[in-house]
Amino acid sequence: MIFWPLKEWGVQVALFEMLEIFEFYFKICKSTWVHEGELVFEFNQYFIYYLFERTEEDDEDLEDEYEDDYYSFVHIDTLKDFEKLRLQKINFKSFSIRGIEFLGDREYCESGRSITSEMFFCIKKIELFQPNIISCTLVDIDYGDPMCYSPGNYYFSIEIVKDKWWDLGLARFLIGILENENLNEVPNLYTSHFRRNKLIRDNKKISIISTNTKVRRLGYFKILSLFVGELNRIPIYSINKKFENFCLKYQSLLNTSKFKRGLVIETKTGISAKPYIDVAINLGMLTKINNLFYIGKSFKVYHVLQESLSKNENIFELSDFDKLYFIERILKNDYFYFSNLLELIFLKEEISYSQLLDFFQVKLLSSLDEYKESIFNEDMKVVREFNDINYRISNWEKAKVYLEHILMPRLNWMLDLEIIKFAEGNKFGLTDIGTKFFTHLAVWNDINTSKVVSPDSFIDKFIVHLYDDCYNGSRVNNPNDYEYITKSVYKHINDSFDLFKTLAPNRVTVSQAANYAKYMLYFCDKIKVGYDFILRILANDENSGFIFKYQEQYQDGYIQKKI
Amino acid sequence: MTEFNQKYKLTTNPFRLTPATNPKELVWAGFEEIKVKFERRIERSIRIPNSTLVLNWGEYGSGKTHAARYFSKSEVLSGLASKAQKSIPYSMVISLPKGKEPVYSIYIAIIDKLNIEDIREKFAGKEGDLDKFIESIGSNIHIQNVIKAIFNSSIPYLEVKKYLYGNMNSSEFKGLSASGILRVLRDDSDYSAVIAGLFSCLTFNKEVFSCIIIWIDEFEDIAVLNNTNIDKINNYIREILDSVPNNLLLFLNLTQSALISVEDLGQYVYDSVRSRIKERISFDLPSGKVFKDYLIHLLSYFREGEDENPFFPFEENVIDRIIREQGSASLRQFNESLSLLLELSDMDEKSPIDMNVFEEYKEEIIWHKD
Repeated sequence: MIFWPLKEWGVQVALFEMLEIFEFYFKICKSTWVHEGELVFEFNQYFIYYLFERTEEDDEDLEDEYEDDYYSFVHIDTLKDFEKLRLQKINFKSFSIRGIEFLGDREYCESGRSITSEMFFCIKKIELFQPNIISCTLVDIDYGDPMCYSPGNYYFSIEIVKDKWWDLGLARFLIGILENENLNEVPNLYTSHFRRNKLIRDNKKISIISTNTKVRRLGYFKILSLFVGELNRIPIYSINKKFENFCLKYQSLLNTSKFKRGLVIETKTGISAKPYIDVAINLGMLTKINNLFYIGKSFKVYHVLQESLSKNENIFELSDFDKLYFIERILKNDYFYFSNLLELIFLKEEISYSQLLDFFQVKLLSSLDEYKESIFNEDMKVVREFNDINYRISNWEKAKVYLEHILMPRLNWMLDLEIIKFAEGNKFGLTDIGTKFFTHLAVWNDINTSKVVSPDSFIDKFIVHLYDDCYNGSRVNNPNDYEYITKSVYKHINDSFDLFKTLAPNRVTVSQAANYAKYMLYFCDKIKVGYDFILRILANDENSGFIFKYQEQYQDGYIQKKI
Repeated sequence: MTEFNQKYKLTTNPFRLTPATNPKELVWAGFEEIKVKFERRIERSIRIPNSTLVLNWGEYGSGKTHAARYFSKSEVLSGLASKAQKSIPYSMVISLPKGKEPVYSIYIAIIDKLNIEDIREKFAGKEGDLDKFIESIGSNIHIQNVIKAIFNSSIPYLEVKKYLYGNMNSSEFKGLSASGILRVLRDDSDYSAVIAGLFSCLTFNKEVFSCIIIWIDEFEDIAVLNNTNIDKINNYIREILDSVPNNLLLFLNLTQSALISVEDLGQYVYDSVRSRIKERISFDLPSGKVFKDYLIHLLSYFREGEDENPFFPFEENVIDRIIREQGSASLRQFNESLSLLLELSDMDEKSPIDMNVFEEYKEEIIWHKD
């Protein structure tokens, strides 16, 4: 044990506690050093950070050698070295746990590393150990000295409240988590993207849809597909009532299904079906031209495949195809609310509806702050949009009433999609599917080393793989014969010319043909490829037999057969 | 500096980025299949009485506007007419109006192009039969009188034009009352009725004009119109086809573009119009062979002197390379590349244009806007 000349009893106790903690970390860590006001303990890929400042009094009588050493690494090799730190003259500013990935190593990695999901895993464990001891969390890149180029260290940091800085019990617990090296495995499909180390496009546009609490069953959108298929086009003035009437015959089916809320009943004006129609418009399932509703571009693909790929006795049960389609639609149009809700449920392990009402608004606002930090204020238009949304959410009047309209539909969609389940005490918890799903979304952040705001490009690349991994344990293995895959793609593209005819001759819309091919490949041919992959082979293969024209401004295009 | 025509054996740079307006410069090169489609369609309208609606689809820069202008050339039309041994068609190209009153704009565009003096000359001696025919069109006496006035040489043609524009003051207007014109033209139904009547008269018995050909260019702009005007345009097309049941050939030029929420622009064309479409002509992106045929043909139009290489001043491997580099591109994109290559080579006095020359300018001439 080391002793310092101490003036006061209180200080002595504090120092004693500090030393006990440092000794504990020191004995089991790989190395310890002091650098630029940071005392760091290294445990493989994890680190304990104590940030400190020297008091003015100490500055004056600090020996020159230590002053010079502020910018250099001072390694602590023995317990005695702590003595040189003159702990009694130090003000500790923060205590945090960090996971660090050196980005320069990415191109050689054997598998990706998910800093984000590791952080969430740690937060969750810490919260369960002792709630409310985390003061803040952060995911960022540290490029070090601006004068020397470095690919940077991508890291997470979890700061602990001051009261717990010298708590040996917590220290032991933290080491327990950090020593468990395989905190989270990253699915193999992402490895090549980590190695490539290139950002996937994120236009930073926040997508939100407005919902009414009654829109709880995704099965009603399956009914909507049958409805628009039957009527082709529907006047906007009568769609609510007509759809309501159409839904009535399914009333009894809902009563026998697993989740019974969200029933459409008969009303005079169609007000019971209206919330579903409104959400369908927001999800792009219906398109309005003049005073008529038509089936939306993507929903037409769903409609064409519904008969063969969505065969459930009870229409409110979702087939694999239904789930994949709805997940894609929801993530593309409602990523902000949906992903934050998922995050909150993950972190709390089990959470009641009333707790969600308490936490969700704060969660959204903190996410917006993270978004803002990640773009370095470069794009003023984006910042303005973040600020607008921030303002709107901060100023929700009767937030809890409004939150019901946000939370209830999404919780029920998650139940339909088997992402969450009811836990004891009227609480919600993630299913195994949900936990995997959450990990995938976390990995997306890590590929881009910043929080994904608009996931469209990720969905276009990974959604089928994500689905296969979460729902089927990555059961589908693609054939090794690349030519066979491309031939299968072309076959389905060719078929799409009969299914998605438009007024123009010899022409099919890219998004419809490629999405159709994507679903057919996965569900019928057991080949999993992304939408993006199909577009790439169409664009690059001169012998495909198709003319492929993509128009960036519309995020779509058309395909013609070469004649 | 060597003169352009000596160096390249061409009268001028033949690669236009926008269609020519001067009829002399309007030539049709290559694309024989599509040319035949138009010729047959026009010939059919020259011969037979039924009115027809045709949709022309194609990428921006694929030649839709060029086709409209080329097939409105009087030599081309008279060629087709004499083949059918009928009179020449009355043809015009108008752009889809984007303003507040699209029907009125179409009406004005047609009146602008109406040469009353010339028409009266052509119909001289036929007024009696024409008047009887006009009386058989519909039941609106006022409109019948307006149409009669167009063909009536006793009313000064400028007065009639002024009336049609709605620019007459009250004292001038009184002069028309003797002809039974007692009110101004007021709304879309008046404008449609006048145009319908006019078209029917111009093609009366296919004597003076065998048919009317209207090309509505830039029809894709319907997507930027408001709901009311989308309605109006669709209704107008339906109405004009219904009220001119004979001798009208209407071409609508549309781009292939997909849009954010709809599959294509076809969704802006109502069923009432769709059901009247007789043919859809597609301006496909050219294949390598089609493009090379086009090029040989085009260069021959502008050739001064002779050269055994039909692609001169370009070497064939340069053309093949450009086709490969551009991939699926519109004719305009090809023209753009070749035009730039020719201009750059001209400035640096380089001829013939071989692979070395191409490599030197490659970065400048191969680029994609999207």
